[in-house]
Amino acid sequence: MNRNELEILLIEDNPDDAALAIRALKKQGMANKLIHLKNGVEALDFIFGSGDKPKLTRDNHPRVILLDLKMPMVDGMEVLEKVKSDPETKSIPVVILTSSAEDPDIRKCYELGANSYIVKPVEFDNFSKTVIDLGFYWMLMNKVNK
Amino acid sequence: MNSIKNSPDPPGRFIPDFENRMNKLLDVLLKFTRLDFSTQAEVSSRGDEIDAVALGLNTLSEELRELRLKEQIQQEYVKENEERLRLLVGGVKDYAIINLTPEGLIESWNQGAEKIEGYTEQEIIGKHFSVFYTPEEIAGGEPGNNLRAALAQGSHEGQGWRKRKDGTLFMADVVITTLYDELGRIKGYAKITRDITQQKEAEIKILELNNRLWEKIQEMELINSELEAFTYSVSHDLRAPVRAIHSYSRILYQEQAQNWDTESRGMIQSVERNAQHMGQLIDDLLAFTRLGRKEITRTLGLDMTELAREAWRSVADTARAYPIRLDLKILETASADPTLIRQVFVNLLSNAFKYSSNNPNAVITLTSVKEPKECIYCIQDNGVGFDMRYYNKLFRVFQRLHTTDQFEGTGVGLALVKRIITKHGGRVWASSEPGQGASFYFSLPY
Repeated sequence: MNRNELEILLIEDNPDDAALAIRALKKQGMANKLIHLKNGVEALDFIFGSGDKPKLTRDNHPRVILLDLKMPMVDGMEVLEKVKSDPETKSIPVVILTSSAEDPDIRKCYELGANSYIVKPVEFDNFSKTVIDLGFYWMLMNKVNK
Repeated sequence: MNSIKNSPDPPGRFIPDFENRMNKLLDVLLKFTRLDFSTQAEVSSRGDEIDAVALGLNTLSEELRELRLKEQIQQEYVKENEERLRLLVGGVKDYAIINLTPEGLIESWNQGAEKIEGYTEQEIIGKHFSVFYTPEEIAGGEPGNNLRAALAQGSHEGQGWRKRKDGTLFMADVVITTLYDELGRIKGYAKITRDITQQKEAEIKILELNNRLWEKIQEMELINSELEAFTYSVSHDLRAPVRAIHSYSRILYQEQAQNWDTESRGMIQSVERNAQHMGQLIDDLLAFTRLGRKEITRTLGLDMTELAREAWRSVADTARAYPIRLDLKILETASADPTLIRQVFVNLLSNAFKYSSNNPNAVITLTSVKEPKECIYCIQDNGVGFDMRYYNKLFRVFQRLHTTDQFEGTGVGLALVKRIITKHGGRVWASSEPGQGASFYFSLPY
């Protein structure tokens, strides 16, 4: 996929959560321009470049990043911090995905510049609806901003 | 006397009589000097100067006799008092009360001193009071320092380890007071000693217990924070698989089940329903634990009627299917946390709602009574009720008195109600009979 066309960057280590989110987005025709990265390390490599792959720039980045918080090695918080402190990437909307509203890190995420967060619902219908609403919202918002 | 005898003779006719009478007067005077006022001077019938002196002496002797009597009474009184004080001090057993000379030698001793320090009176009188001090304190000049401090400030109080006759140590509380005589010269010292070893030990013990309590509190706090971390991890880690189970079974049902037989369709729906129930259990458990940490913020004059009405709206919204009537009386206001009390109403009303859903004429009645120290609120329904034999399980977490096929639920609602009300300093209770409806009560102090 051409990076210019990239719309959604999904960073999620739980394969089921990722598959279900992609499925929900696909049903709305929103998953064509989606890239799924399976952990924080992959995410950093993709966003900031590694080897022959270039880093994302101001004019060339996804419309929204959906970021899971709890991941091994490099967690969502670290990815968020890096994205929001780099002038080239800080304007990308980042939506935090978390399993629990109890998450003590939610507050910290906002301080770091997260644009919103959503608690992944247990029920599939809610889950799909949330993911779809979110995708629409941020993609539309971003179009307006551009 | 001699001067009178050897004086030049007065006129002759007076001589023998004069001398005789003067000598008698002199005798009386002499007795005066020995404080003897008992002899009367002889008064002749002559009415001359000697008689005048004799009369004067008699008046004087009478006055002196009275004065002397008063003085004797006073002295006896003082002596009596001194004796009483001596007996009193001597009999004091819990305090060592002793007198010291200005040099620090022991002058008097009481029973308390014997009991506390171990010496008998005979053994100790005349010894220097430094025998009570430990060798280190003597080396440090402590006994002398204490006396000097008492002299400088009038009295000196201190605590320290002192030595008994048998060499054992005790913690002493000592007051040394400087004593002065009538002319302001130092007479010595009064030294009052109390054995406060037990008190000191008790203090140390209390301190130890406090420390141990503090350690326990810290331990508990650690456990609590571990529990919080555990709760968080439960919410995170358990929700993910439940979400996957629920989602995949839902997808299968929606997209594949039309090709399956009835039994298989039923089974996949069972999977979905159970996953949903488990999700609810996790959420309720979280809500329950969260409440343990939450501080209550009281609102004074809280409008309980309005709160109940709001709660009813949200309950009726989610269960619109059943036509159930709410009979809401005007409730007493309360001093309570609005968010939490709203939760109480939601839980009690949704319970009442749930367990009355089989009754076509279901009515839920909400009333309150003002008692001397608390307001009591009652939610009454005419639903299925419960069996009082299982009452002790009613307010326990994850305990249910109905099966899930009868009525949905996780068994957290009433436990949550109890926790909220208890946090407010109130009580919860209930009464029912199967088939006769149930009444739930909670009280809030005001």
